[in-house]
Amino acid sequence: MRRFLVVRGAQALVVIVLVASLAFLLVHLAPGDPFGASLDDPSNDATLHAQQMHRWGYDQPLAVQYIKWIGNLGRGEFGWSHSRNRPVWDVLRETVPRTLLLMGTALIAGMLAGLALGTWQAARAGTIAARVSGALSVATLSIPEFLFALFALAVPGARWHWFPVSGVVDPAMHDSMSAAGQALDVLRHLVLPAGTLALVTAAAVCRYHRSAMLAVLPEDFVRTARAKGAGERIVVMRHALRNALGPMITITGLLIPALFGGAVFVETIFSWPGIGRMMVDAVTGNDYALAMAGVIIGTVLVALGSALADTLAALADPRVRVEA
Amino acid sequence: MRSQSVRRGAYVAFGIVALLAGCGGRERSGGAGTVIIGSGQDPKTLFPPNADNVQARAVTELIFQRLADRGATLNTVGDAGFVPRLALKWDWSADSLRVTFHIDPRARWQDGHPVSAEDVKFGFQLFTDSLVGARARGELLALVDSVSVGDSVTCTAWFRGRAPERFDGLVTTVMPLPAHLLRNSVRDSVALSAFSHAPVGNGPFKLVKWEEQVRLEIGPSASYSGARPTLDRVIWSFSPNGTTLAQQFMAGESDFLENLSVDDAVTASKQPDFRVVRLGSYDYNFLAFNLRDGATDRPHPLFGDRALRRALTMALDRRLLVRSVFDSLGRVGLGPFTRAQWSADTTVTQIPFDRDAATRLLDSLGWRAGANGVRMRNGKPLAFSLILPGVSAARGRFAVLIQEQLRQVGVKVDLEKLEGKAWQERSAQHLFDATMGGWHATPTPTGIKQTWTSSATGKGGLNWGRYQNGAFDAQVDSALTAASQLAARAHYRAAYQIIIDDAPAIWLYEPPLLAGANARVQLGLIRPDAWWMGIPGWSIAPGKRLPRDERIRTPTTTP
Repeated sequence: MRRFLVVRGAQALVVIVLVASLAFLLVHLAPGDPFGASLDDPSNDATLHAQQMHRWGYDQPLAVQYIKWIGNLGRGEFGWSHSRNRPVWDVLRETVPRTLLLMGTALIAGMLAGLALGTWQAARAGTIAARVSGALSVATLSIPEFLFALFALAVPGARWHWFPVSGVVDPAMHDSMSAAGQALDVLRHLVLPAGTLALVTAAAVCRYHRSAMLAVLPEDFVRTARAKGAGERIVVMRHALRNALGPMITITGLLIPALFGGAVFVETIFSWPGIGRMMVDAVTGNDYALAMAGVIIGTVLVALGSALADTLAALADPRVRVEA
Repeated sequence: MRSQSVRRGAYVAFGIVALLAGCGGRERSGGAGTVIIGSGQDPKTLFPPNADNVQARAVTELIFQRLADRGATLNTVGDAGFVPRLALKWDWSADSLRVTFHIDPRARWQDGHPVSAEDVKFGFQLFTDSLVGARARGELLALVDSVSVGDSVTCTAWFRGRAPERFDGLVTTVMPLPAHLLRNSVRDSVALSAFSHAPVGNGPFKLVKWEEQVRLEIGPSASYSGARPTLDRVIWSFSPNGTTLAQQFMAGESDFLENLSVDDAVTASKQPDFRVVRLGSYDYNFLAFNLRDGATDRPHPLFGDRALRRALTMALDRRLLVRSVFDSLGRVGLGPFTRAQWSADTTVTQIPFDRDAATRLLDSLGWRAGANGVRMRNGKPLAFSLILPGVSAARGRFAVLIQEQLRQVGVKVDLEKLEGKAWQERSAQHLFDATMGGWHATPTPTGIKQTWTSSATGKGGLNWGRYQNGAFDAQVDSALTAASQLAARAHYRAAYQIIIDDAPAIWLYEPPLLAGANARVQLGLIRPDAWWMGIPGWSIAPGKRLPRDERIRTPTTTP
């Protein structure tokens, strides 16, 4: 197991370094620079621009900049965000927890809903209700997340006023609320963005889990449980469900990158100030340090998720360990 | 058994949803109101020399107070119409090369320290320090040599010459800064210091809280010696997404939306709870021809010809274009200026829309109809590419309509939609035939020198199409040095007429700058160049108060 963890960790590290290096190259090759004039702004001062580029070392050869950047990264320094006028580390300290909250809530809600629905569909396989529900799951998977987000924004948000349409907290009332009120305020703001992400997650989990359940339900141990007189609910929940959960560990690892990609859209649409929105701002504003930090954090999250899924799968099934 | 548990689960779920949907704050009473402004961008910094975007300007100009400000006429020549702010009055020297300001002795910084002449001098030093990197540094140094201190409430600005807009350039740029707090800061990092996120100002408002990318709150400053703002709180709520901002506004979560799209304006205007407010627009957009061949200095094979440029201008029904894109909210561009500038002259003679005349002119230039409907001359088609930034929906729509209108006179236009920065680089490097350009001007018309004169055709210059006309340059120079607004206006008019006749660009439109306001907010007068300056006078209409209007205590980030 120890060797397995070391190998997985080394693989993750290589992936992170490769992706970060590629991001460095691409971000610097893109048109513009952190001090370029904004669109339509005639007050661009070439001298000032050159001074700023020199001061921050952006006029040095790319290789030199890369070596410095890698060196700083090794010391845990992400650099300075020019678009936010403060250290990248400070920005990450605010944005990463918000994205983790959003993704974590969506993942848990999506997993629970998907497992419940997948189990139900498998248990009711062949019925009209299960078929309709299955078709809806496929339809949900086929529709891009941002369309759900726009629907959630327009209908339960703006039209029905059920939940706030943007932000993390109520900008006017949050500070005057009690601790419980503040927590509920965050939860209210979390409903639409996390719900959007959770919906797609649930649909994916549901499809995978239904298949896993359908594979398990005809097994001998399920038939034995039934023969021993166990009720259908006990058979499904206690015998079949537990044995069908194995593949879900791997699926969870795969869902994290998809969730992270979805978070970019959802955070932008619902003004959730997390890493997704931060990266969009950083790329459009040529904020090199911030954009690269975002890429690294994203890669780390994905690599960690994947490694965690592999580890859990290895713990659950020793054959995986041997193959690694 | 199962139905019972399902019902129980449903009750629990319903309870959670009801709790989440209905959670609110504690009971409060009193208070003069809260206005929430939906905004697309975070200020990024509140350090006045680096406050470049609209949000940063808005907040810093409410937290800091300048010596004087433009008055209702928005005149920028001399000091006529300027209103005293921090300075109670000012005196000119006999040679008009220096002006002495007399500062209000009651003025205080928000930490209680008196605002002194030394703070004005210190502010000037920071605005002109290359290490601080203020964008206005170059223009300010071209006008003002130095600021000296007489006594604690008297300071003198020494001008380099008698530029007509020297007073405007000084007072609308420089803000006094608290020397007692910042003097010991290292210059190259003062802009990056904690002060840039928690400034101590001298204006009617003080910063209460700023959560970057989320919200920013200001409230009345107790140390301000002038009239107290009516509102208790003004909160900016940030979202980068225009659709979200509009939905937030329509849902009543914000009271004022500072950038309302034309489509949303139409929706909002149909509802009694909302008002559409037209803000002063200093933007003008155009189709610029490249008068030189690519990046070389040879004349462009098509647009080096003045008559051809005029024919293409004549072939476009600009009024129809503007109506198609902006309905009745946009305005046809008249020239390299906007109607909001004092130098604007709506009587300058335009090249009229006349498709028949355009056809005749093209015929006379030797461009004859070809087999595929495209005009040809010496075997070459009358075709060009038009580059445009993909981020601008309005420019995209204009480009398509222009393509169609020019097709009707036998001109082929290939549209090249580019990523914003790529478009900007291509334009700046003169690598285009024609480009959909646009400038954001200011109340002062002097920007024309940076964008359309011969002096701006070189590397890094903003005269992308490299239009050159000595007579135009002379008129602009005369306008820039004219002693009176009347004389300057005459020179600007002459310059505008020359450039319109030369048609280096087709002046397309002044985009409408619209805001949405909830009917519960009483706005008063909106200043065209800075709508936020009216905020101290905003109030909540009686009978339209919300729970958020009650006075509540909030933690402050201001030291």
